[in-house]
Amino acid sequence: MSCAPTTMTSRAPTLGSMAWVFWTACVASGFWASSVRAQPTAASSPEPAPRTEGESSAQAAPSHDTRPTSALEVSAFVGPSVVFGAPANPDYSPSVERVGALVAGAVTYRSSYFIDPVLEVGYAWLARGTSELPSGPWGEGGTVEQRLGTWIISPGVSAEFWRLRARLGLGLGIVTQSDTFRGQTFSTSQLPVMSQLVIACKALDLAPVQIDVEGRAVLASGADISFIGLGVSARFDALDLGGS
Amino acid sequence: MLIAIAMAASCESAPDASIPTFGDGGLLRQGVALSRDTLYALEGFFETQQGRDLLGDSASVRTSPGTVSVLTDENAGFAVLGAACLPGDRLVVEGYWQYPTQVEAGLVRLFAEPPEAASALCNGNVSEPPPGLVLAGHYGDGQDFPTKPLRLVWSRALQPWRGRFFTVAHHGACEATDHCGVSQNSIETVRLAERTGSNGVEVDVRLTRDGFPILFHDPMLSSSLVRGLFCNGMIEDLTLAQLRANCSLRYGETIPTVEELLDAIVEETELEGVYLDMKVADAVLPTSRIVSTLLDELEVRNQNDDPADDRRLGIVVAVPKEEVLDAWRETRQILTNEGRRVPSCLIEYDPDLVLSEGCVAWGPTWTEGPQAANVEKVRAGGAVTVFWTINQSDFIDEFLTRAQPEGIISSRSSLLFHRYQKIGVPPPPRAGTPGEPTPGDGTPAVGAP
Repeated sequence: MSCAPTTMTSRAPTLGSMAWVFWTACVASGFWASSVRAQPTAASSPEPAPRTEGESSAQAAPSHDTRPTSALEVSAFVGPSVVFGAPANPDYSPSVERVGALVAGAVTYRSSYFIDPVLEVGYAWLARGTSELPSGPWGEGGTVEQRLGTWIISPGVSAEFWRLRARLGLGLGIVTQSDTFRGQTFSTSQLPVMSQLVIACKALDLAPVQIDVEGRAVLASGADISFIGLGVSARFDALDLGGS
Repeated sequence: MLIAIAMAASCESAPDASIPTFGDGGLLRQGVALSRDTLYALEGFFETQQGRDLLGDSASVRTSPGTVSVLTDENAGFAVLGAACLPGDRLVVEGYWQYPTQVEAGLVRLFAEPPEAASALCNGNVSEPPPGLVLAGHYGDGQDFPTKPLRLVWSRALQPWRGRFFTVAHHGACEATDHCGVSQNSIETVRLAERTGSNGVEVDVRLTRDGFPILFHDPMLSSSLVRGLFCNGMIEDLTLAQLRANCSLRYGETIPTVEELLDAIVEETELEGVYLDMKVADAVLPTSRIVSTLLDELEVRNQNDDPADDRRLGIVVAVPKEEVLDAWRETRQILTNEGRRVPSCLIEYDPDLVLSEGCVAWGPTWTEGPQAANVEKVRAGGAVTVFWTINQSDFIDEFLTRAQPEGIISSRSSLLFHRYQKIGVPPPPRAGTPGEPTPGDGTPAVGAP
């Protein structure tokens, strides 16, 4: 990936604002969950005691400790994405829509250990754009409509602490590039190594489903692509493997 | 914070390239540029009297249109300079120096001495270096005004290289990781290649989806070579229009077609040879058609009444593997059937095939050693040998002395050129190869391989 200086400078405010939104959502959801539990209703289940004394500060956390120690957890994520990078040729009046969408599904083997293995598969509609191509060896000029997306196939590990869940993934991307020019559409793809860092914040416990606010940064080494995503994920235990 | 760090760490920006320039345009702006014919008189092997920290104990000075190049084996350094006559018959030679593998670069300003030599050069009435020619002045670091003394004393004429020995630039002037400010396989790097000591270029040819032979090394648009948000995928899947709309090379250049490259070489340089490395078999026929057409045009141009516009250029279609050889044989047949000129070929992997296929050159890899016997065999068969790709001084020396080939591909053209001038043995002249250029005959007439 090559990052022109303009790209790097444009990243800073985007990353900052995304991080701010994420953190605000995380903290706000914690207070909200706390206030909900502070006024139990007949329908609500009794609040279980924290797992350890050390977790007493996390009393606002959802009652995840009622779940079995070992389980196969299935999760789904959806949210907007913002892709970085600049069009190659400013001379061709490029326009870019950087905001796309990311959907992903993951399976996590949640064990009694601190680190849990996870496999995620997702797709991101990353960007659309146009460039005005002049006449050239290819014939007459015209508008090139560009679309960029990527599959994510990402094994990794995740770990939980406090209200947060962090995940590191290292896998493959299938970057799909498609262009339409003078009525013809051509597509191509490439397979870069894709790494991602995901940080999720527990927001709601709607047993048996848990809702998280999730932010992620994804890097495709070998392709000129990096993007971030911020959205909501839902997860539940699909298979109880014992323990509680 | 972690996200930001990860993002920043992922950025593979193009290597820093800060080519210094004189802020006010330098003295060249105030003078009259030396003619091409007069520039030849500045060429030679120079001893370094001052400035050995920069250039080592000697340097080769060669010229190309509008440029005086100082080439050394000290960190493969070079200086790309212009020459102009100032009022009072003062001849200034100035520009920048650079070590391509390092960030270091700086300004150079030299004056021709003694005054009689400068006067003779400025008046254009010289056919060889004036007696006692010295280039003396200063060099500096970065954008700093040059203050460190530099003094080059003409020692002897360069040993024959035009039409004799090919210093072939690998993908162009510099490696992708260098700091030359140009991308490999671009027209810009080919221009720079000549200024840094090459008289030939090796470029990589692939084919777009719509049949245009272009210059690109990898099968995929890897981010080490290109940039652009929408610049992804396989070359063979993309049309030329897509590549132009979506991609630029690392320093912002366009991915050129073979036709654009050859046009630039013919019209803007004095390069003598082009080594078209066929990365894919499908590119052989369309590339050969382009070369065939160009050679026809050059033949017409060279046969007209104006010798000043003569331009001879050796172009070889390089065959690196069996699959491409099959395509080459097919291409040769097709062009013959069409009554068209068949370009020259080079085979990389088998010296016997070079002769049996009627090719003009063998391009062995350096990893199999100098292979002096095979070099001689190929030479006896009327072909030449161009090794690829040697960048280190000791290996260059070994191949220059043991194999004595007609050329070497290197990413360190300045180093190779100067080592050849220091210890190389000029290969025998080839049939139809004119000698060194003389003032008045325009661009140097050189023979094809």
